[in-house]
Amino acid sequence: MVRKDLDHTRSSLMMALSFVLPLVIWAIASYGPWWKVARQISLSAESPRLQSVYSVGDRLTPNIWKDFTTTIAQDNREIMAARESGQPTAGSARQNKKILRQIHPLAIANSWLTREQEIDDEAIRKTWLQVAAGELKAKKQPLSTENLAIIKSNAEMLAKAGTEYPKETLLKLLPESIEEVSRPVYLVPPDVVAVSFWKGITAGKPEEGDANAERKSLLQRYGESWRTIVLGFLLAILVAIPIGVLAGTFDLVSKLVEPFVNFFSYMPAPAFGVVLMAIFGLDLGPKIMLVFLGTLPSAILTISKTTRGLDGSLLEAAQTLGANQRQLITTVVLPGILPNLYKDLRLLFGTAWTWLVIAELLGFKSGLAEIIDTHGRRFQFDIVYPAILLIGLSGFFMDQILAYLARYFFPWVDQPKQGFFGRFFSARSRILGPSSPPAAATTLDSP
Amino acid sequence: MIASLSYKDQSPGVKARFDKLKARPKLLEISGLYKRFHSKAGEVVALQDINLTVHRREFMCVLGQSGCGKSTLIRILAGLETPSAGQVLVDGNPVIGPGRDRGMVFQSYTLFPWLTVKQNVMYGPRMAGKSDFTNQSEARQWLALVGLDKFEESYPHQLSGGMKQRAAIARALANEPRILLMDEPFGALDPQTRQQMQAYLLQIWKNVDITIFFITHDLDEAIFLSDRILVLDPRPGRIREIVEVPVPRPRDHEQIRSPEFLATKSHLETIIHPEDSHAKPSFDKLPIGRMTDVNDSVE
Repeated sequence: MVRKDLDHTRSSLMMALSFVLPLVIWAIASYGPWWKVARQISLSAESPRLQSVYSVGDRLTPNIWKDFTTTIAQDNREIMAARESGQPTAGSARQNKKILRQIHPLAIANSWLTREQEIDDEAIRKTWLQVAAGELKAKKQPLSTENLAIIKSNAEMLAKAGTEYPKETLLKLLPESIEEVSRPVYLVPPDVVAVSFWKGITAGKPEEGDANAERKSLLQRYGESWRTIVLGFLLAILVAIPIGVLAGTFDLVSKLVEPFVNFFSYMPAPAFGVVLMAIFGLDLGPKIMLVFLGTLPSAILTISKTTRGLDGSLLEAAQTLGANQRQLITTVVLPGILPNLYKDLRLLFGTAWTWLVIAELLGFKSGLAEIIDTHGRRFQFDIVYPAILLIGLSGFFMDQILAYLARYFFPWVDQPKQGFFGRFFSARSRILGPSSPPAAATTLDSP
Repeated sequence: MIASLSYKDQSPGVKARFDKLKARPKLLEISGLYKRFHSKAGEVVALQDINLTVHRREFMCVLGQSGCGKSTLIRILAGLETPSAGQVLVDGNPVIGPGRDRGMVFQSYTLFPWLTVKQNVMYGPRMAGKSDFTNQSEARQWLALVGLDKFEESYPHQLSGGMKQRAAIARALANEPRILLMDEPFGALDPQTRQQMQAYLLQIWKNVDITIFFITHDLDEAIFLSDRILVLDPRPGRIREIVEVPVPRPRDHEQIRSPEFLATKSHLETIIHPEDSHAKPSFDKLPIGRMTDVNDSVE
């Protein structure tokens, strides 16, 4: 209905939906049937019953892949059946060597063998025996348990044959593959982003000597971002609050300051990036100053506007009560604008995140923007999205928490419960009973 | 007999009261007051030739249509506006700006929302540098006087309109002014609360050594409250008449039907709305058709 408020349950439901819906759209776009699924072979096998030879790296459609695996499994079953019947299938050394060479790509991936050892049958044979004995562990590209059993069974026969190759045929390793969906590179499905996000925030410091030792973890980058934005923002409001309050109070200051600030606000702060680097170097300096420069003009303008918005009759009332000019500012203007000033600062902090991303690319890249920029250039969007998400979540939750805390800071403001936290806590206090409502917003009637 | 009673007929008691009142020292003297505003349409004269004396502990009301300059007058008295000519003396001292000797109560309550009721009442003395300890106990007394002692820790937004205005009165009185200026203080209240507040105000006035200068456009309110009523003519605002209210004190709302009250009211009506007759729309000659399908006449 036009301009009718929803009841509590429904509005909570809608607020939940407003987050669930985009997630659903993202999931549908990622998991929908319109992306071709392919199987990339990581462990191959050969069979005379197959018309073609598939090698590692080939991509097969799910149907061909199914045929491939069932054929090899069928081959193995026949070998086993023959073995059990007491008339094992004969196998030449050449054939068996070929079967043993199957393990070579896996051995490369796990750095057991080098690329050149493709036909080094002695080394390959040793590898089989070592894997079967558990001396080599497949860490990087794991083996299926079935294949491990096959390796053990073959190794037994190899051991029996001594330095020769067995006279009967060995079992074939079952093909293995990795599922691949041919999504565009920028469409990273939610589960991948979630896992990457979780890894990012739980990752410890990279080990000494690791190839990534130079790289900082997501959380370290996040910490850098907070440092930049907080310092830049604090600096900006430290300058903007006195100027804004004075401009909102005294027409003289307003006329002196605001026209230029207004003009200045039209010059995009990032355009001064090079100047800031020239002045403040390449480290933290230009980044903080860009956040400062981006926040300052709008902070001055909004704070002066908020100050002007203070009910003038309060000032008149204070004057009739004997307040002098200085007292008017300290006892009326400042406390009077405080709730709205707080609201302004909340909004300004939200926009400061925008400046942050540009700021961090100045000079030596730092913070989350470094992650976004570096990995984005390499199309590693599964790393880019968690960083972007982290910025969004930080801004959002910061704002919500501040909005919720407002009722404790300003008990005199008769404000409706707003936002997620307000709703959450009001719903909770309703369930838990009348614990301690911060501001009893009840109107007391005159006796 | 009732019809023949004039508002000028004062009973001996009332007459004696007025004589006593006029013998009291002059608290407020306005002489030759003139105020003009500059606007886009040119100069507007808001007040012209205002001469007035208010005695100590007198209750004076200002009546007039909107635009007659009554708000301008009280703002000049408060020192929030400067007159273009003329001067205002309070206790013999010229008014040059807002000051503690003149307390003001506004129509829009103007309590400081970030202060509790008690802190609001303490505001004036605090600005004057009074110690917090004496200030607190005095604030409690003022709140008790207006019946808000139970709400001293409440914030203004938790109070009803009437309570807010009582708190505002307590705040103005806590500064111990010589005169209390009230600019349509009860204008935003509903009729019942309004009557209650009028009774409260008279009680307060009785108990505190204070002169009250009260602006209203409500005739009943003016007659019920005041000793004398200053009637202003609009555009430019000039004194039309100063009416001495013949209704005896102590007052209560039963007196609204008394002959003195009615006589005063009818006189005020004639001098305040003389031009209203030709401003009335003539409903019989409206250039529109009948807007009802019901054939029965309602009269």
